[in-house]
Amino acid sequence: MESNPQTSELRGHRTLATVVFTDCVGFSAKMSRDEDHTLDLIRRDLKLMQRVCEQYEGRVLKSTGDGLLMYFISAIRAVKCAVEIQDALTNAAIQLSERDVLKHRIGVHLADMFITDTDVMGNGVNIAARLQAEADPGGICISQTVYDVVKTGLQLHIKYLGPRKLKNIDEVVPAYKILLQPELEESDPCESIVQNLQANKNHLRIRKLIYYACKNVWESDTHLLNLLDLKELIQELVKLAPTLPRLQSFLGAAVKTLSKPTEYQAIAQIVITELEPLYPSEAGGLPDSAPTQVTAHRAHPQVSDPELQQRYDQIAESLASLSSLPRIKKLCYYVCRKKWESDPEQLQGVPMAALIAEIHQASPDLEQFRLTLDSFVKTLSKSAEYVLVANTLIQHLQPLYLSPASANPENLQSPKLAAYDRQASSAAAPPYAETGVALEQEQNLLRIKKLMFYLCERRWENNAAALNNLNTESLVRQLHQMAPAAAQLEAALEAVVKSLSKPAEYQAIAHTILRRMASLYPGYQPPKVELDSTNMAVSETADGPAPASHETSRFSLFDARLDIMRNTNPLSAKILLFTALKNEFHFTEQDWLALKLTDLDGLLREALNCCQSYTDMEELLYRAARTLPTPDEYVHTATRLIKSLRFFYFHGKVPVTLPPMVEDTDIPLAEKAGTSGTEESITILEQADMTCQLAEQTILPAVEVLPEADAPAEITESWAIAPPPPHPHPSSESDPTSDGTE
Amino acid sequence: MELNELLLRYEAGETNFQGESLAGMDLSGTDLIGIDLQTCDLSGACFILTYLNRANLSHANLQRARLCGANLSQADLLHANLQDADLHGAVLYGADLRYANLGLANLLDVNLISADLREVKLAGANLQGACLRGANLRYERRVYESADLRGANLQNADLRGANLSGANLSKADLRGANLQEANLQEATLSGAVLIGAWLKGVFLTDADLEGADLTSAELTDGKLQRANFSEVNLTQANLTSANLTDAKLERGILVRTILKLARLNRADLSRADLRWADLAEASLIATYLGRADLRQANLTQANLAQAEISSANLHGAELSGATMPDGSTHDG
Repeated sequence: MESNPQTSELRGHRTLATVVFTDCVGFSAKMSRDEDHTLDLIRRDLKLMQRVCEQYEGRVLKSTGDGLLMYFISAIRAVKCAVEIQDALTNAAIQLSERDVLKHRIGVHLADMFITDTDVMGNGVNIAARLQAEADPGGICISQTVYDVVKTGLQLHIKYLGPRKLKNIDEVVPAYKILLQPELEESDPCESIVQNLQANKNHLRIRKLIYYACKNVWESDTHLLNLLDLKELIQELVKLAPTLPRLQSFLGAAVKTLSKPTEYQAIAQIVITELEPLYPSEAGGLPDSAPTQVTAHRAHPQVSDPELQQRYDQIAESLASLSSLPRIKKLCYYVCRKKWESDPEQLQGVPMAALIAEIHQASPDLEQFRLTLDSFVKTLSKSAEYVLVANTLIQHLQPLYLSPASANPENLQSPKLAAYDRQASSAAAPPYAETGVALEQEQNLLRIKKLMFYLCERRWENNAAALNNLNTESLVRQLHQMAPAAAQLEAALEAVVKSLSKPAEYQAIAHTILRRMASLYPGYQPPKVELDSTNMAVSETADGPAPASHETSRFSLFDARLDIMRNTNPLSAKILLFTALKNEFHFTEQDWLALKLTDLDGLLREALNCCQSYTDMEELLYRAARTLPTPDEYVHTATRLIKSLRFFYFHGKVPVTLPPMVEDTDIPLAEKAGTSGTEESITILEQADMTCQLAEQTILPAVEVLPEADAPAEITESWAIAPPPPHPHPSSESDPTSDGTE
Repeated sequence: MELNELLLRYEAGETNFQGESLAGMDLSGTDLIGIDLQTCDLSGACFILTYLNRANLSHANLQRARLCGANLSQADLLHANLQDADLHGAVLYGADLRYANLGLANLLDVNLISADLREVKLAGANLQGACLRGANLRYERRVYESADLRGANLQNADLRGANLSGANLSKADLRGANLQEANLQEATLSGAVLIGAWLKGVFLTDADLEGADLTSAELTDGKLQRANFSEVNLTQANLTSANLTDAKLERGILVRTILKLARLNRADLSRADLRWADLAEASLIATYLGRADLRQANLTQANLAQAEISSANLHGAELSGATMPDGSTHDG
């Protein structure tokens, strides 16, 4: 039994304990829909948890209403208990219908806390609570402390999430995720590469080099280096240098700036050799190109029927017109190859028609296909959104499954509507028009349209004129077709709203949408609206899937300008940017006049817009500098300009070109890119200066199970220079040389 | 004097060229660091991308001169006449521009960081995109008259931390400008346009903003005590936690303005339009709301103790938890 030295008359005592926090996913929403039923479910689940807790010699300290707070003396038992709870819940769920299943998140942390009979207090408890929020539904998240204690004692599949910045917790907490279904989550070539690099005896130097190449900052602190997520860094590196020769030159340039170039050259070679498999080859001999060839082989013998092939092609064509094509293709690729592919180049190499053929051959029955697709989607980190994608896919592939002999070309041409008609049980067309009209009565129509458009097209539209042109009815129809089940629409809305910069306000918008669209889903009870929509301040500032806040992005440009003004001649900077963007500045009267038409701000925004990556900007500016009369001077200006704008590529935020009046600040989802280690002088303090402007602490994002480059959720996290700002200069071992032009 | 002579003498080490007549001379791109051109006639002269660091140009006539991209950091320009001059992209970091006349001059994208601009005349000047961080435009009684920025174009300018106390910015265009924590105490901003401006934490105590347009401006944590906001347009502006104690807001348009946690004690809001304004948890002690329009406003948990609301229109206003003028709490 638990040895509780605590007697009831003492108020409480301080002890080292492991606290397990559980929380039910979407509890309030479920409660507002069906209170009694949800209460039954939660009682059932909490009883189960209590039983398991006592089995593992833990003690339930209190119930939070939708979860339990458990206390264990043994961290190993605590983790075992958590795993057992999730396993038991999952097993029980197999035989239950969806409405009878609740998902829970669990967080585990070990720290010194103050325990009384009925409660636990202390920073450690807050950490456990926040960790729980980081876990996946049905998942478990543990802190570094717990990991260190249990790693040897337990056989578990763990995934490192990186140092996490938890709300209201000062220190950064490295967190781990316990993988309960290892096979589906670790099919990644990166993993084996990471393991190889980690096993290498020079792994610390490897980390240093990769980190330096990506972030242009030298990190010598072993502890911090070990905290870095190697997989993320490798992915960043691959993004920065998308071809093997570029990787070689990139690393080569970085190594040249170091104080021990020969040694690091060897390290760079190791890195290049290890990372080779990640690159598609031009000559076509590496394993990555093999799947494309294999597909061709696989598809051809089986598609003996030319008519079938034609249909595959037609479906591929109709899918190509959709804006959600990239996601559809990723999903198809995932289902066929059991491997997640985010690289657009890779995906391009595989024709959509071939994937469709593969899928059709693999699952000859529609139900089976649906189930397969469902099970794949469930393993994704953005399952709610991918459910919608899956539905679209099913719709398009449906004609393949329904009596192939009777399928006629007309149906294929308008698969959406045709598929929908077959799906609809009622003969009457669904009330799209009325729903559209009802939505148009709403006060926040613009925001409603923004959210619906985003769900359908995966693109955020802030332009009021464009939004007004969107037909509400067709948005409703599209959304309904993508999410034929109400629960899917709800889940998708929830997932998207969470990733926005104004989740609270958009939550209410989501509710409004659900309420109005309820008529399209027979038997569906929309959740009660919690917020009064009139209380929401309707501001015109950025409320799209923007990064942390509208503030930061505006500030960042002001700060970048300040930096540029401090370090260069503003007119030279303008001349350089003008030359780079418009290709000509010959110092004529006309040119001077043209230059006076835009302010520096406008030129910067244009440049940031047109250069997707840091290296692109470098190329653009250096090239322009060399065409001007005094190239040396302008190269120097270019260097300073790039340094000041580096901030934007780190944080993945690119302010869109604005008219001089700042009304709507659009932040499109930019690609992330790092820096190149070319002839720049590195001063850590400078970086710290710039990052200090941010309100939030900057941290490395966690890598989700299946990374996606276009996901807003990822972009809301910010990249960082991993060590906190007050950091010493690089150590003597690796002093990068300065560029000498200063 | 001829151009060549000047350059030769400068190369030889001479720097004193006081009082010379160099009107219309083309000195673009030359290195004239430390040169002394006090009281010279330089009207219409060309100094594009010239190096004039620490040069002395006080009392010089630089009307219509072209100083685009010139480097005038730490230069002395006291009483200089720069009317109509073109200073596009020039560097005036730490320059001394006291009493200088820059009326109608073009200062687009200029670097005025830490410049001394006391009693400067910038009426009608174009300061779009300029950076005035830490610049000093302070009014000092009996020493420096107010800096004159009437009708100046300061769109998108960076005025963070600048000292503009007592400055005259009436009818100035400050759209999109960044005035975070700037000091505008007792400044005049009547009729100024501040749409979308960033004024977080700004000091506007005792300032005059009559008739100014602050639509969608960001004034969170602003210190606006005793300021004159009569007839101001604050539609959709954000004044969360701002301090408007004793401020005058008669006839102000505060439609959908966010005034959460703001302090409006003893403020005059008579005839103000506060429809759909968010005053949750705001403090309106002894506020005068005579004939104010508060329809659909959110006054949840606001404190209206001793406020005058007898003639205000509160139809549809949300008052749950609010403290009413008689001290009682309104039931939701």
